[in-house]
Amino acid sequence: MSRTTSPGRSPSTNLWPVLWLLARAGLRERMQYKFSFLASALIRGASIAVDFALVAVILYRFRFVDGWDVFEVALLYGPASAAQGLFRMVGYEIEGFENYLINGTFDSILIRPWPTLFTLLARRMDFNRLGITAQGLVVCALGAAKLVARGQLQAWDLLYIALLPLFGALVLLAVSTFTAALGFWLIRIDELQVFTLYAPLTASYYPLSIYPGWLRGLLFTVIPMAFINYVPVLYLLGKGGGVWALAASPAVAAVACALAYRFWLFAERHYQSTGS
Amino acid sequence: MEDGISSVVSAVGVSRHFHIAETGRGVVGAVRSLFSRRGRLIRAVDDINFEIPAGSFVGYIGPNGAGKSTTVKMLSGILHPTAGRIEVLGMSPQTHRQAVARRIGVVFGQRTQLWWDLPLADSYELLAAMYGVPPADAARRVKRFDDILGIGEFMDVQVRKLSLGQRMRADLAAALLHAPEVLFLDEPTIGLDVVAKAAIRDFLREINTDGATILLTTHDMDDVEQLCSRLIVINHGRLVFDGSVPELRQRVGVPTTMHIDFVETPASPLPDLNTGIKVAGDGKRVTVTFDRAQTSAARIIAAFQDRGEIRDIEISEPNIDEIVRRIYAA
Ligand SMILES: Nc1ncnc2c1ncn2[C@@H]1O[C@H](COP(=O)(O)OP(=O)(O)OP(=O)(O)O)[C@@H](O)[C@H]1O
Ligand SMILES: [Mg+2]
Repeated sequence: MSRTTSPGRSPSTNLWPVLWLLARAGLRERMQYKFSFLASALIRGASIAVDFALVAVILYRFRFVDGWDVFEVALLYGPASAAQGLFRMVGYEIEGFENYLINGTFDSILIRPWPTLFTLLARRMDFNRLGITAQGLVVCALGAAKLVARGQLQAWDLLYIALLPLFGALVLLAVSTFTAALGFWLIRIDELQVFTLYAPLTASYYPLSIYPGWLRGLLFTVIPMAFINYVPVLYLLGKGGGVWALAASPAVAAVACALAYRFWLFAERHYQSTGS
Repeated sequence: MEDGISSVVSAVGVSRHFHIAETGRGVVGAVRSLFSRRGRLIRAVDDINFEIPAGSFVGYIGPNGAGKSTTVKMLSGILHPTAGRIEVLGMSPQTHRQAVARRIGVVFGQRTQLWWDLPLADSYELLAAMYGVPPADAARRVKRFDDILGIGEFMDVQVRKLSLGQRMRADLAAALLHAPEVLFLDEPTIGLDVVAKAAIRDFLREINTDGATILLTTHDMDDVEQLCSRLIVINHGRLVFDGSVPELRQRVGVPTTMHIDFVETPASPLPDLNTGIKVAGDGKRVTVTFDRAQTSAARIIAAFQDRGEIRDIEISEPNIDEIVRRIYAA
């Protein structure tokens, strides 16, 4: 081995080419199983259609949920669903982080000269999940179109709403990262993810005012799902809150990410690996 | 770095304990076990000290569960020690994990570091990008690894389709793509046939000659004898020997076992050989345990020549467990 080679460049200089390579590799890795690639895209598309159908059925049955009609609820469901799709595309490995702990394969993440969370997330991008995002955006657009026509939303409100999935995805990523980090002690975290991520996410499809106080309190603080849709949409539709609500979403997303990352860095030192 | 005196790897009073909790089922059980103090404490590594100078080739051996893999994981920054301090290339692999990772190579024979579903070539491309190796350098190195390890023939094959021997060679090349100064190898020859082992040994010898410092974990005494200038033996997490192979022989004697089968039960008494040589007769079979450094096999055979017609002779070289048992008993 030549001893004279220059030391490797710092991660920041080759971050993007690596991400690009990894994304491409992830796609190719997936394409190795062509049938399952297509099948899972179809199945997932069908299951999310059923998902919103359920919400819609409930709404048509009762007309209003706590004063919100179906188009207004679409403005909650759409961004949350789109956020979910974005999060699950990027956070595929963090969602399934339990496997890394059980098999001890987090070892191979730690021996790389990158921040572990970054290496982990970059290991696979799951483009299948973009279907969920597309579906969420369609629902969102249908709701918004009607609300603009009714004069409840201004055209420029739509610009903000278009950003909501992004803020939401960051909140989901933060919650998921936090839960995964607990895995450094608990090991088994798949079930915990249901409590911290999926149940609150499903809860966020409806106006939070329908829930009991303790649950609402939880969704406003520890698991801040309230900010991925409810808080800003409530203000945009003139149902409550102030202009601060628009700033709250990105702010909460940023703070949640920062805290979750801090916790991750602390927690990863407690990684136990496995005995061979 | 290459002055031969400065150590590139050092461990000072390093311990790693595992607390094995009695884990209940599900989330509730897991949470409860988190707060419970019940359970067992395993001292996987217990107060170990060593210094490894640049350019060394060190064998790190011990029986199953001795703490070898745990040590390698601490050296490579995967595990944090419970106590003690580790330095690799002058830095702590725990606090400067990324900086250390950039300059070391790690192979776990049991587990691949490659992208399972991608062709081998893609893994190399990704690793080169990750470590910031210019494509030209990467291509040159891959070419060289191909010359020695023959990885070229399966460059386009998905990693999960490689045989164990192929995968092992591929993994070794992957760990070396960024020209690491230090290599930690945990059982890189496990489960390989004689030909593959030989290829890997040749390769490691060459890498070492070029200046890389290597720490190798193995259960194969041939690996140690052919490659390592120094041996560190651990047992139950404690360091029990640190020295050269000749020193090890001197200290405990490395016993070779010879079975001599006679056509008829040999006339007793059996010949009285030097002290240190054990002779045991059992019907037509006589078993002699001796140290090759002191006695040659030929001398022993000669001593038995007049005891009857010999039908077969079988010599088995000592295995590492036997040596470790001896060190431990000494
Ligand atoms: N992650 C872990 N959690 C709990 N115990 C562990 C863990 N890793 C290792 N141990 C325990 O520590 C001891 C040392 O294990 P280690 O894997 O270091 O042994 P080893 O020398 O590599 O053995 P082998 O030759 O079988 O590979 C064993 O008793 C093992 O059960
Ligand atoms: Mg081991």
